[in-house]
Amino acid sequence: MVTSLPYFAFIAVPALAALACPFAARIKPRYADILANTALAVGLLTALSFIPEIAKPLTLQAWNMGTGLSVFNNDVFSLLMLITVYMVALCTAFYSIFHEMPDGRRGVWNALILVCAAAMCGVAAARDFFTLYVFVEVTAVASYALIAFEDRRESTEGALKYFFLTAPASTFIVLGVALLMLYTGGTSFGHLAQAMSSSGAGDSAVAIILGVMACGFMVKAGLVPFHGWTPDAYQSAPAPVSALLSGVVTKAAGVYALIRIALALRVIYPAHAANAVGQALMFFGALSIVIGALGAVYQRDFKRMLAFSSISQVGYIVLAAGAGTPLALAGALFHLFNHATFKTALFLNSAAVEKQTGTTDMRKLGGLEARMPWTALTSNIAILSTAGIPPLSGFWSKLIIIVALWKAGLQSYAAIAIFASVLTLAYFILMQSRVFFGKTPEHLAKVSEARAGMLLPPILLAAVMIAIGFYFPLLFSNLVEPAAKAFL
Amino acid sequence: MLENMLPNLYLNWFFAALLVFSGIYCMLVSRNLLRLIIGVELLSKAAILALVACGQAMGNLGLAQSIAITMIVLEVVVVAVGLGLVVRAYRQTGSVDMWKFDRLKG
Amino acid sequence: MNLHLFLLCLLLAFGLLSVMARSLLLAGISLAAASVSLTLVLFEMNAPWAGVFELSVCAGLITVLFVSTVSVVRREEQFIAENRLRFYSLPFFLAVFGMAFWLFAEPLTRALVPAVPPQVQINVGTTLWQLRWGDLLGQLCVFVAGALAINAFFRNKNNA
Repeated sequence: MVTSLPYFAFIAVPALAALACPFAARIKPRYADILANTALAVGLLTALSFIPEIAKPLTLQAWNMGTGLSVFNNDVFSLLMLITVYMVALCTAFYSIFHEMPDGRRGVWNALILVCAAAMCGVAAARDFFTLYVFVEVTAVASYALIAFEDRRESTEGALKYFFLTAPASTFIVLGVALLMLYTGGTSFGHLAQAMSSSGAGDSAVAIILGVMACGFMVKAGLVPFHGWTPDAYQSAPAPVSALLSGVVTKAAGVYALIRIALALRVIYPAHAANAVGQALMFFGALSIVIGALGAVYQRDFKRMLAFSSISQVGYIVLAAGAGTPLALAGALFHLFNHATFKTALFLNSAAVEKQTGTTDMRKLGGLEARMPWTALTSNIAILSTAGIPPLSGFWSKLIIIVALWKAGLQSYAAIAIFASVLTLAYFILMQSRVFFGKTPEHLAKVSEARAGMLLPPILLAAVMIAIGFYFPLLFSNLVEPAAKAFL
Repeated sequence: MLENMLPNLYLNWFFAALLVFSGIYCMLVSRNLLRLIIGVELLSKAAILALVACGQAMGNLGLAQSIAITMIVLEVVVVAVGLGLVVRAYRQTGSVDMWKFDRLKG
Repeated sequence: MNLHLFLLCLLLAFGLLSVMARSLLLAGISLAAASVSLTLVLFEMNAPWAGVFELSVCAGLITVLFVSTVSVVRREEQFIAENRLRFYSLPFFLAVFGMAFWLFAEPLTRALVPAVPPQVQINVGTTLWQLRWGDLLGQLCVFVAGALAINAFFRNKNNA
């Protein structure tokens, strides 16, 4: 039995709630918070309830070849993306209850988060490159507004950079879609798969189509040659928005589509990525891993360092996607989810630090462990998970990726991944010692722990990381392996 | 029928490529945020031209047109939000010069 | 065919003018003219629906928005010292690029055109409403997002 996910509801409910939010806020500003959190929590629970139904039928096609009337697709990957989107959006919305802003703006703020979530669900639901592009653009519009929400010069600057660097990328995506339509007669993933399985002469054509499209999506994902906007946007955005951006927006806007492209490549290159696009994905992924990690070492701002770390981790996902074996793809998906948990927790903690101390400049911080024990604890767990320390969740996903790369005969890339993982640990230890450990400077002596509500999302996310780490063998046989098999 | 369409396709794609080049050139060369928006506009014009040209060449203009319509609607919203950002930047800094925006540095 | 070529040239000429014009007002107006030429191209290519949208939305709405923004920032934009030579040298670079691309255009397009079986023609309305209603949902979402974004940018003064 293959259950169809009610995607329409997943998109429409947050969108309608977003419409209602400003009006609810007019009655009482806090109603907007309640509305947003309720809508997202219900969505998350509904999405979670589909796990058993989607995971059980192993015959489920990861690649729906049908080109029928149905607009949305239905596979493990979409469900995982959906859960990630709702999880991070809920954390953001919950956190922003405690984020200070004028009461009159709460309605619009929550509405923007809801629209962003709805659009990202649309991305996860799309089974057609153009529909995917449409929702990517909606996500982008909501993100511009969220980044520039606070009336500060830096925020506007970050949003402008995001806007002007990603707008040309949209054009390249549309040009790719146009070529795809010309070549295959349609724009859906199914059309692409059909064209690829039937094409005799089409190697160069497929490389051109996917290459043009992948260029656009790489800009939106913030991979290294195109990463100019990422640190600025993350640093200048209001704190909860950075978590949303790093946790899901770049993934929904870029990485998801890149993994879809990698899935399409599997149709004709089953064993490993022997083609130009797969190699390009792997190359840029590895480049992002290294440059992102090296860049992070030199940062002085807490949030900016996390942004560079995000670039590096996204590189892992894309590298694994480019390698394209079933195990690597499963690792990419797993790391995508894990990265959403630990980077959201870290950005929310950076927001707590910013709120309590008034700065994110690491030269002015130090010794916060004594003053903010819970924030320090959850940050430590998230950091160790990111760096791939067993038995936390990040260890397993990195292990899968490295093993998959090794098995696919890509030893050099596997070595890069291992090396960068050491580098990750290095810059995070640097950050730890500057922010949380050491002696407390005098101007921070009166800093107190953040409010309990602000601590709740990071604590829950840390619990998820630990739980996934310990129950991994169980998860592996129940979720990851089926997912890998479904890609076969 | 398809063969008749091909010269047209070359021509359309050639002009679309020229428009893409002009748009990107404009965005690279200028410091004025409004000129950057002009560049974005030219890029999306090229995309619309390319889409409809492809639809004509493959013989399903209905699909191409419906995609182009959605594309146009998206474009107007994106450009409106971009102009909003520019006006906001102008109100905050009194300028639309991109070089004035240099606060974020690593 | 000749009409088509003429209209494409018109589109490109107005596009170039919008990049090279010194005054932003002139640039905005020539962008509108480029939109109108694109509309004519689309009509000539038998795509009237896309043409109507292009005319009303791009040539109409965007021009209004752009010109009003220009009038807001008008005083300041002349203080930006830009090197005009860079703009005036666009035709030269464009010509170089055009020649280079022309060499690639034919093999490129030849590689990309497979023997697609002649498609069943479905009209725009049916395509949009029955096959691509996901896009329509996206359009609704983008309107909501755009309205909220504009609200977020410009309403804060009243409430803060």
